[in-house]
Amino acid sequence: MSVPVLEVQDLTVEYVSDERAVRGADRVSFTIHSGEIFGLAGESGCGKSTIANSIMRLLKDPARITRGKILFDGKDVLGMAEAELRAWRWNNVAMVFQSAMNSLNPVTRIGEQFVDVIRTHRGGTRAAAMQRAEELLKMVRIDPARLRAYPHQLSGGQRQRIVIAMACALNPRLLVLDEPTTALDVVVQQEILEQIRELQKELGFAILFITHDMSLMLELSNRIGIMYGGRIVELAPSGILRHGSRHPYTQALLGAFPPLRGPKVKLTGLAEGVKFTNVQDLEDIGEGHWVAPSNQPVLSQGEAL
Amino acid sequence: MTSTTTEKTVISPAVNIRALSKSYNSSSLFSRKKVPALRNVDLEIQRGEIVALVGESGSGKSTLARCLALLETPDSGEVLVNGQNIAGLKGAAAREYRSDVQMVFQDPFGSLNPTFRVEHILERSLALHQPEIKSKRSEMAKLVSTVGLSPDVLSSFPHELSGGQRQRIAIARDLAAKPSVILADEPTSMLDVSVRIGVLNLLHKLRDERGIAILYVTHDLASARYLSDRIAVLNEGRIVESGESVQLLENPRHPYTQLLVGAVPNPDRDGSLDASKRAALREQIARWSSSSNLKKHVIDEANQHWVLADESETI
Repeated sequence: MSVPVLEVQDLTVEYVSDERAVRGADRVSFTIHSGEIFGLAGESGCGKSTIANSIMRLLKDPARITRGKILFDGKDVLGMAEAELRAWRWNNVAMVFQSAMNSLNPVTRIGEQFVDVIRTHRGGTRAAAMQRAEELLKMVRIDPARLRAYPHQLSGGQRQRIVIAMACALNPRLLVLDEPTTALDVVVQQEILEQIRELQKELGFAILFITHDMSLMLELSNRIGIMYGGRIVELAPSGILRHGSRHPYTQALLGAFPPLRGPKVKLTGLAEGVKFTNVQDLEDIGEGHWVAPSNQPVLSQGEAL
Repeated sequence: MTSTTTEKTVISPAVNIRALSKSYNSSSLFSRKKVPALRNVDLEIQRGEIVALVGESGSGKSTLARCLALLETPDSGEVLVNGQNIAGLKGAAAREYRSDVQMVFQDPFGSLNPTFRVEHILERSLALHQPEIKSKRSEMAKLVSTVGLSPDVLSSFPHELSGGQRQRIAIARDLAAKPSVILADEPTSMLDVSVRIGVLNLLHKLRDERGIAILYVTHDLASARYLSDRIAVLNEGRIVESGESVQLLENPRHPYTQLLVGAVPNPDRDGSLDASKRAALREQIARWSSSSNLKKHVIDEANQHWVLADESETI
């Protein structure tokens, strides 16, 4: 786990308009090691998707990367030319979006879409590509006969699994999953997460996992960064974050998910209108735990309900 | 609470649903068939009680809430609210019912008129439901403080407020009607996670301080456990298991409840289901749901815990 696949250093992204510039991501740094699942958690607007899109070089105007570096296997991603980027994406890093199941082409059979991806990036014969597609479908436990199906003949969960299988088609070193299960029922969500874990075991890629759901985040990730207002406010291995979080925002986020077991305790969440301003740089407090100093009082621990 | 509603609720539960069934027509070129959305549903909610209706998409939970809101007409069965049968309510009686039974919707961005200030939105609800109130201004200030906001928000437009604040305003608008029942259909699923608990706590407070009966419709078992006194699990239009929240989730007896409980994201990964256990549960669910001889088996009288199973099954 020691080889870094992805290094994000001091990344700042601004959304620029005539009047002002809003920072979508602000001096963000983190590293993802080979085979690691790294999570970015936070609420809507915190900048987690901005980071994912920066890594994929998918940012559109008016977003500008104004500072920082993104290194993939030591190579500068921000310096890549268009042709180089096209070759790099999907071969080395693939992304699955929240509504990815709706990104399949509705008038093309599933199998053709696999063939298209595989041959565009790797060439080879149609038959070879189809065979690879069959293997991938088996990995996500969908009958390879479904390669002849059109997207509308499959359930949302099946389609999402197909998109994940497609993302793995070229054995990428890094998979970026942006809220991959948010629109799905819990049982389907569980199946998909299980398959992501199995695929990872088999293919060995690293994952950047993005979600607002802390229970899910803690279950899946090895290390987690908590984002607020474009900044990372805390970064730690999941076990440490879960039981020893230091930043009040992390605590509020963890407190927003009531447990399924144990005594009923009154939770507080984040009070309406509470804001953290001028978030400081992270400080190392040992054991891989980094936290931004905060002068806000720690939230109350709750009372019996 | 007026004295008449109090008298009514002494003798009957706030909501009493008996043998409610509803199906939708599904027609294609060659066939016409009825798709059952609710099948023989019984559900009571006492005054000052929160009942969570839990199930996956398509289980029928929104149909049940819509029947209660007079937005759907059931095929059979009855709904009594504070002792009154709501079938065929029209005109003034329907209006009175609609002020007594208020809804909180999923989307606080779509449920508040964007062209009016908050004060107008609340004032209108007060004028409709409590025309006798003279000092609307002070009543509105009371309403917003009940939902945990400062009176400053009265002069704001909905777009100037956060999702959580908007949902609180939607609840304040409901309260202006002095309801005895609130139907909350996924009221927090579109809110930022850190403010969700605050809205759930607010619903708690309304139950405790105003004795409002609340039907909380959700797919999120953990929040159902947190908020509600009892949980009813809906599968394919049937309530398959029901009971006191903590007890039910600790000791789920119906395979569908077990499937749901085992699928909730869980950092400890204890009790999570693997693929073979899920397949076994699915097989059991199919067997139970196709049985023609379903009976309620009482598991625990004190906790009102029962499960719907075939008579021959050992529970």
